Amino acid sequence: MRQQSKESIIILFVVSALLLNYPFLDLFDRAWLPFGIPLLYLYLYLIWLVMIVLLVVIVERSEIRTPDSPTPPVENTPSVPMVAADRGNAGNGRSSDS
Amino acid sequence: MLSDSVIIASALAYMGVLFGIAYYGDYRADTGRSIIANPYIYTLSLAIYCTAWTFYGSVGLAAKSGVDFLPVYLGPTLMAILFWFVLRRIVRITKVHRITSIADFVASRYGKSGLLAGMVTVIVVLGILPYIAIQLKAIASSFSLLRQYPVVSMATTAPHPVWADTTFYVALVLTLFAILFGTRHIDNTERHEGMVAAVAFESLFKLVAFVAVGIVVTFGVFGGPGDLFQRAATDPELAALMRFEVIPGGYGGWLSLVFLSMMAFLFLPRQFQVLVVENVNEAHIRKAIWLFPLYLFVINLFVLPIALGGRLTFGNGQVDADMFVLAVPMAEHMPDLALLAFLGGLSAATSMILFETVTLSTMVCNDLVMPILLRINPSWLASRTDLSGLLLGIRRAGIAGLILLGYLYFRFVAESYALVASGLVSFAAAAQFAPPILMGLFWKRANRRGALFGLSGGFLVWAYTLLLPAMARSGWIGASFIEQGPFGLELLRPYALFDLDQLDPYMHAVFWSMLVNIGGLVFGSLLTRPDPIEQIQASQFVNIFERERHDGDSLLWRGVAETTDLYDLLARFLGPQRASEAFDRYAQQHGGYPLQADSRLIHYTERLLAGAIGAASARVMISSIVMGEVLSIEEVMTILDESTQVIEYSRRLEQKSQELEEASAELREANNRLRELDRLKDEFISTVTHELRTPLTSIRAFSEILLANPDMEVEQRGKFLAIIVKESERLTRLINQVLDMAKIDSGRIDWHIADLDLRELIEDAVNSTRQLFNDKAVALREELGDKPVIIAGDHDRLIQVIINLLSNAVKFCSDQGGEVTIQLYPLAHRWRITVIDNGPGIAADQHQLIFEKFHQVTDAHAGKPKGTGLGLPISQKIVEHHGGSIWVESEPGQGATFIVDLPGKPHADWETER
Repeated sequence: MRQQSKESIIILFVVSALLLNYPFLDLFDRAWLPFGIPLLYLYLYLIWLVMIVLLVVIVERSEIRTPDSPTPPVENTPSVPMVAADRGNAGNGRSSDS
Repeated sequence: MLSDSVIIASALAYMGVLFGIAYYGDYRADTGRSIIANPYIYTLSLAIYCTAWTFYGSVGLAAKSGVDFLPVYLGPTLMAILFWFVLRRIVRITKVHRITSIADFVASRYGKSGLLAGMVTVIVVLGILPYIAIQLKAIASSFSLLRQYPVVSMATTAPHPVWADTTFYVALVLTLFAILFGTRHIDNTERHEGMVAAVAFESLFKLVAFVAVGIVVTFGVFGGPGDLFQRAATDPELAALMRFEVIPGGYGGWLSLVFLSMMAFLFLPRQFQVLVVENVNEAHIRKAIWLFPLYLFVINLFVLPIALGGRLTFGNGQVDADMFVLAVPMAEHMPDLALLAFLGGLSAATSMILFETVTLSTMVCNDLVMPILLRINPSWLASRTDLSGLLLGIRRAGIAGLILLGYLYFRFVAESYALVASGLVSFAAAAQFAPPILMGLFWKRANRRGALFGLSGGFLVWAYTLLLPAMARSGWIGASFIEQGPFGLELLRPYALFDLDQLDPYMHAVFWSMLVNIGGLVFGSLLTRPDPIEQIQASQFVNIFERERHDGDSLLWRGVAETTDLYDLLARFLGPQRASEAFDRYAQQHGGYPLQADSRLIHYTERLLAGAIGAASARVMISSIVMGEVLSIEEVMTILDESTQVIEYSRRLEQKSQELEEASAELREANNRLRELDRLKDEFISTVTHELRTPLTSIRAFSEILLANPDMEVEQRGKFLAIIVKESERLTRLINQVLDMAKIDSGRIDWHIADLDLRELIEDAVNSTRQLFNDKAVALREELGDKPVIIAGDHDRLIQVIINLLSNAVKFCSDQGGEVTIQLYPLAHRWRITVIDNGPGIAADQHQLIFEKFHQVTDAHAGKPKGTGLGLPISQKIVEHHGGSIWVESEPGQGATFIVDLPGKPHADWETER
């Protein structure tokens, strides 16, 4: 994950944690039903949804495989051949590029 | 229409499907084509977080206190945001160290401590019982509600004996199922691919079931969310549910719930299992970061509509709000949907029970029973050839025991509680692992004793503030325990410890237990010193991403072991087939294995064993067959701790720069001395040339006179020639001194060391300078004793020293009443010669300088130096060559005392005191 994405993630965490607590909750604690839905419910679920959308944007925008996080091989698990195959492919791809 | 047989048959059919999936998953895993190795299955398996608590309990809670159910899902969402920083780190560590459970993780971090592993296991078992109990309760109450279809009424609460209790049979079936599922064989990684596949299916199933009920209730029974909420808003009691004030703990309670669920989401044992141990590929975490919150979002979308719909459908108290998900479809006469809801709830509850008990039984076996067996009777264990059967037996008994305990808790404690209330007790227990694990990930100094203090303290506070009150409420302890405190001590009321009564019970417990836990960890770590192995583990955990190679651990085993011993050990725990597979794999990777196992093979075996019996036990087993020495702290730290190396490096650097500084200071000083010498030499040359020119001038002048007057009178000529000779002698003396100095300096002088009588030598010197004393009318006192003083030395050189000192003394003596004293007397191991004059003395700052070459004491009276400036330096060289020393003691106006010490053993009849 790139540095920029990491920073975005931290910021998202802090802002979400703030928005999902007092005093923001108090701001939206009103006896009012916009679109027929209680404001507090609407606020909480909307914030939640926006968090998820932003997470999608941040995570999916950064590279698929970061160079600093190769999975260490796990011996005697079925994942080994798979991981090995992944690496084999990546290696082949590189060699054909060059 | 919904007879018992239909319900039971569909439940069993559902379980059969699950079993099929699990079996298929294991089969695929064995053939190397995993079906769980993708991020979607991973995310779905994380949703094991949503148990019957979510399926039934959330609605029940929402029907009583509005959005109070939400923090439990917002917490994990927030934690998911931090997955990349926290979870990935834990997963990497787990893979590298082959950790198999949360107890193993804590134990490994703090020096593979068996005590910690056992403590974590005990906390987990006690903490999780309420959680298992609510699942059993949910299954039992949903079953007893559904079987009465189409009548919707609560089951009779009259107590029935165990054999007539549906829950008991549910527990039995689940026990059987969990044993079949989870303990088919001993795997050295403790991964259960088949179970994970089944859990993923269950997560999907409960989501579909819950959303289906939600959609039908919202859009079928009512006219959409707007209609539903607006109808609810007309009822003041329901309108209150849309506001915040119905939440018992207020904003503080909300915050503490968010925190609790963040921690519980990571550190409940089954969560740790699916999140970390069952993780196939770190890259899956990336997808789960947003996919898992999305799952939570969707499954919570219809909680409020169903809760309010249920309240609108049923009067208050007619039906337990925890069962609305089932009761509303029943009331609307939708048997199929009701059955689907029942199966959804069943799947939520069973997945939790199955997975949790399998995970826990592994922990109980690896971290509690095996270490105890190892300690009590190692020889009995050693005599068994194949222990895998024993391990399986322990685990099966563990599963049965756990479900039974959960059942007992349900029957005797939790029956009166709502689902969520019981579950939160478990959450608070799981949160106790947050400080040792999270701080252990980032703070290297956190050590074993700190973790022990913190964890035990936090656990005791948890038990006191949550578990005991729950038992008190159920009548196991007097109810006065809650109201008045133990023994009437109001200060110790479990819900208001030290009169802290503004918080709701959960926040209260979180506050006190976290205070004790974190405090114990921090201060325990600061005040105690860790063992080497703790330091190594700490450094490996904290620096997991900084390390390129992770086999630093193998350095711990410096000794050797027979390869066959290692193989036998492995075969005992994994069975011979898996053991030989493992060794073959090692041979493939490293090109065969040695007969005498090296540290790498030992470590490899340790890690495999750790997978089967836990890190702490594996270490004990291995150390029993490895003939090795334990590394000393110094060795380990130099090898492993990078920071130490860096410190060492910078220390050396500092040392170097300090040396450099010293050297440059010396250089500067030397340079100054050189310049001073240069200046002195210039002065000296001018002095010497002056001195040379004076005799030369007179020699030349008299020679010219003699040349010009050949008929000069004989008497006159003799006088002139005498002057010429004297001046020539003076010249020769001067030149000799310069030559002497140069010789001594360059070491080309020949020394003729022989035994000599020092007293006689001084007498000779005195005699040869007698004329000088007479010329200046200076009195000379000799205090030389009357016995010969034999030392080894160069006669000519030493006499030169004495003559020099004497002539100096004469030169600087007072004009009137001049007096010079020369003494010779013994000290311990050396002879001392002193030459005392009563001249003007020498200023203290000159004491060193007069021994410098070319330095001359400027004589204020004469205006020009009286000597060549070489006498004292030459004397010093000579004395030093004899292993002695020369210096001056003087104060201006008090005369000067030159002291020469020469080594030599005083004769026995000399008194050494003087």
